[in-house]
Amino acid sequence: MMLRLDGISGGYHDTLVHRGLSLELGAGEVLAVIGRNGTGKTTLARLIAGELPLAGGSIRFGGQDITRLSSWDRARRGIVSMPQTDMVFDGLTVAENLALTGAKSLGELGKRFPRIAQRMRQTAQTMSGGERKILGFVRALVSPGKLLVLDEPSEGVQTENIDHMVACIRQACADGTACLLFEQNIRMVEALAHAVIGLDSSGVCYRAEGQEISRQDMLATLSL
Amino acid sequence: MGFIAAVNLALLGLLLAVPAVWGDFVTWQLGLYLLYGIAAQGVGLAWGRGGFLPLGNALFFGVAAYVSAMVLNATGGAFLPNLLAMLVCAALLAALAWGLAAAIFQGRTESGPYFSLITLALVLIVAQLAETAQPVTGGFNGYSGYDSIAGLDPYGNLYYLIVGLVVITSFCLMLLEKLPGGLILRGLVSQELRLQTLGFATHRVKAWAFALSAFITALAGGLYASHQGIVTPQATGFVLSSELLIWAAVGGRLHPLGPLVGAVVIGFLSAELRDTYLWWEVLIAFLFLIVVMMAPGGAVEMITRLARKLGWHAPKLTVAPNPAPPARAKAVNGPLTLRGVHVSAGGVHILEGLEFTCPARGFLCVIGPNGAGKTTMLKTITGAMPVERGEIRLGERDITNVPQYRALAHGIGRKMQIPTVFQDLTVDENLQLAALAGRTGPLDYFRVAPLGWQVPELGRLLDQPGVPLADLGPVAAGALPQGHRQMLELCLTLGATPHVVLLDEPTAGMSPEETGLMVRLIRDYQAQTGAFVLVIEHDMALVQSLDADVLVLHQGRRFAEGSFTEVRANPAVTEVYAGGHK
Amino acid sequence: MDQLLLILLNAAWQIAALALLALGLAIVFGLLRILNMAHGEFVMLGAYAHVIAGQLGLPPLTALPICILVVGLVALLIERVVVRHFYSRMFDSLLATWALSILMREIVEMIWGRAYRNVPMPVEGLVQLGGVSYPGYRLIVIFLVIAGFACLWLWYRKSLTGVRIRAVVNNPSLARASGINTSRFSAAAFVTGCVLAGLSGLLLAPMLGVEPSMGLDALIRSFFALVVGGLGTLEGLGIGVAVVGGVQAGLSAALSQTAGYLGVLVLAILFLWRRPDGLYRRR
Repeated sequence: MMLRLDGISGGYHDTLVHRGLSLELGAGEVLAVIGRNGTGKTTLARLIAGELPLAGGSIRFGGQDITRLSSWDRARRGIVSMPQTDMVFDGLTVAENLALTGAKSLGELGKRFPRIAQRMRQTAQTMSGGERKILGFVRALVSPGKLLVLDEPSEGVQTENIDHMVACIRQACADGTACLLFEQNIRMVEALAHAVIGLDSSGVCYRAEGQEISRQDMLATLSL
Repeated sequence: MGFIAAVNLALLGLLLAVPAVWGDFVTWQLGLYLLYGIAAQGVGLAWGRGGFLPLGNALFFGVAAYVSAMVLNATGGAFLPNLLAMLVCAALLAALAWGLAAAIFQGRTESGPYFSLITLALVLIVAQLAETAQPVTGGFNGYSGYDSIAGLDPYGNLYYLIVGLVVITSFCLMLLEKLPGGLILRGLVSQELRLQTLGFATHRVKAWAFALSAFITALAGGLYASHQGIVTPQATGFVLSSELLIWAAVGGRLHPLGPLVGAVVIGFLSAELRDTYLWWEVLIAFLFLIVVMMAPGGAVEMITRLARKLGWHAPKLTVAPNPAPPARAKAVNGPLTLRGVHVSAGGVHILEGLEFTCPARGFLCVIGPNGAGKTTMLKTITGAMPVERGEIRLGERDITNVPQYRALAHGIGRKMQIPTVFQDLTVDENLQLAALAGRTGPLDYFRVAPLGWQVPELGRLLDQPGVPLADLGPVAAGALPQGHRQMLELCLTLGATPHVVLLDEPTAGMSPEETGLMVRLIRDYQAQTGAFVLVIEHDMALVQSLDADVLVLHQGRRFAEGSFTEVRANPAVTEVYAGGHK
Repeated sequence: MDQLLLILLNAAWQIAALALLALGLAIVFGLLRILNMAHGEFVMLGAYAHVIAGQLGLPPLTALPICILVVGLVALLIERVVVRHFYSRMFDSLLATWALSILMREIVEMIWGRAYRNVPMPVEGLVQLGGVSYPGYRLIVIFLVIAGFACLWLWYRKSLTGVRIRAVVNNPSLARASGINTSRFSAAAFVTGCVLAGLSGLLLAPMLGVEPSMGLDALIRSFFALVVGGLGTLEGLGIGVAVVGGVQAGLSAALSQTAGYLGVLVLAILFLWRRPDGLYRRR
């Protein structure tokens, strides 16, 4: 298993958002976590990235226990995360944003998102909300890593570009990267997920794998 | 009145008893520390109430001291001419401070460190000049050999004059806190940008605060000349500037008496301990650091907090409700028109020749994909972002690039995308500011009655069933949940009864019920006032329910317009923007 | 002709000295965005390394490791206890570091007294240049500064260190998610900036003298050089020290020392007021 959460609990200050949540994710797989606003998707993403401390349970990544490791240490071991907000360095140019990942070239991503490649010298804060999402996504995809943790990458992004994102994630998975996708966009989830977990205010309310994943059930999770 | 007043009177009684009980030398010492304390009150006003930090207030202190000394020398200390000279000198320095602050803060919405550093550079210049201009100032040796004002003895009667000044400055500062002017200053510190959209020229508000700060400091400087009998460059130096700041910080910058307490207590302790205890200066510096890091309110704030815990509350000034005067905004005599508007930021074009004429009244919904320029359009209309080419007209008036604080005077109110209420103020105070917005004349800042102003449109809004704000008066606005904040933000926007209302995603983060209420309130306001209301919205159901014309923006241009059904049926629109479809 | 050469040499000296003084602040203020009012006190502390070496009876050259050690440790302590609470709070950082500056000055006064001390030139003697004889030590410092800045520029152009510091300040959480240990990284940057300030004090002490209150002038001039030049780039730093150093040297030669000092202050006020971004903007 690439990633394995064992009964983890955590949240902000004294309010626990998650209690005893477990999940597994293998190399080359996409696990989608869906849920309405406020059900703890971002909290879970931040617990995995190490930005929030765990209150209980353990996290294993690539066979090692990373429960106590700080976020930068996890990043160095190959967990690449794209936060929901502030997913780029606003004060830096596009080129500087990308240079920090250590990537030498954009490759396929440059062709799919030509706006990014054309705007290397633009400061990120002058880009619109959707463009910054795309830059954050490109940053995550060119970063060297084994696990992608993407928090609502499609929010505010145009349909064509969501399709490009889907293609890029597929390509990365074909190369053995695992992906944990936090989304509300059902189309994107359908196109990618090998397994789906649905969250509601009380915790995990839906689990499905492969053929069991159904649009109806997912919509029900989102609209409860 | 009551407990607090009793404490203040007891303090005054103590001050007056000092000469009789502790003798001449202590009186002289206390006189000096009180003068320093008054100067520090000036710093406390600017820093604690205005939110900007002057690093060079010794400039006003020292210059006033030199001028007073020279006038005393010329007139032989006669009382009235010298008093007049002190007042004139303080007024001139206040005017200088006003101009300085207005020039520096104009066009900025922060108090940043640059103002502080400019004042630091100024005080260094003046200290250098005082040292260099030996024939005028006496250079290093100082300026001396003049009589004190009215021949008062620094070890005797002069003390009562100083106490008189203490009483006057403290009373005025405490009074200011209770008046609309004080409320506006607190709003300024809490959320300067929002105060600008409420029609207050914040750079001028800060300029007045700094002018008052300079005036107070200069009066203290004037008496200092009489008290010391000599003025040296130290009176206008960097070291005194930093001490003023330390006294204000340690004593408490948020309370008018804090800086006084700081100056007097630290002054006496220093005099006692400086010689016997070698580490004294280090201890003071350390104390300052601790206060900066852990107790930004200083000693007096700690005392008042303790008093509040023990159940002693400062009496609330109750103001009788009275009808607000009509808003001062100019009448709107035609529709809002954008002609070929170009806007860019950081080399990226956001609006590229936007052309549009809004209806004169009723609703208009603006939709479009992210990055289309919707929020930018609102920002340019209210002057928050500069137009590069093109023009914006409201009726016959050209309002291209009006300063942000002038927009409301043209009858334009804007609700921000992220609700920006005055978080540190209570809901009541927020609503008071809403009623003040766009209605105040210069004198209203210093009258109590405006705090009780009732605006009929606001009253109607607050009385609607479901609006939760009426019962939340004393709650800090920062503690409100998102939905309540949106309601309060709407009140701030509508308080001045603007004729053009720009609403940026008014229902973001709201539950369906709250959304329904919001739509009702907006419709009600429009029906009552006949205003023009522009709404940016992603929620298509809401757009439909408003039954208004729709403008579609795309890549900084007008892409399509028409009724909701027309736009919905337009295949080109669906291609760029599905809107609210997931 | 000789007169002109002397003026040029003096200007070069002023600019080189200012570049040395301002480099540390360029890191701490320009990149880390800590408005370090205690910068001058680190310069002062570095200069006191001469005094420490003298008191311990060590050879003058040992002042160098003493300077690095003392200033480095003090900076590290201050970063861990105080400064780390003030990243991305520029206004508050001004106050906190100002309190620190007073504290450091008072402690140094406690230990070594207020007296002004002379430090002997490490290299005595004058060098004959055309018709002008100029102190050899100054020429060495000018040369060191030019060489040092050239190396720094070559390295900075290739390295991502500057970008990393700005990234850490701009979005610490994303910087961590990119594998940067932000806490250690900012501490290292702060300590480096302070040690550079200390080294400038060490090198310039033979000319400036050593006293507890020497920091203020160093702070003012390096700060204003940064404001005039523009924050965050070596180019901006270069332009800033050239303009401020040039104005000071020019006015001092033409009128008086005081005029040079006042000229710099006036220039700084104009820039702070009208053009707070400085002459050289990053893109």
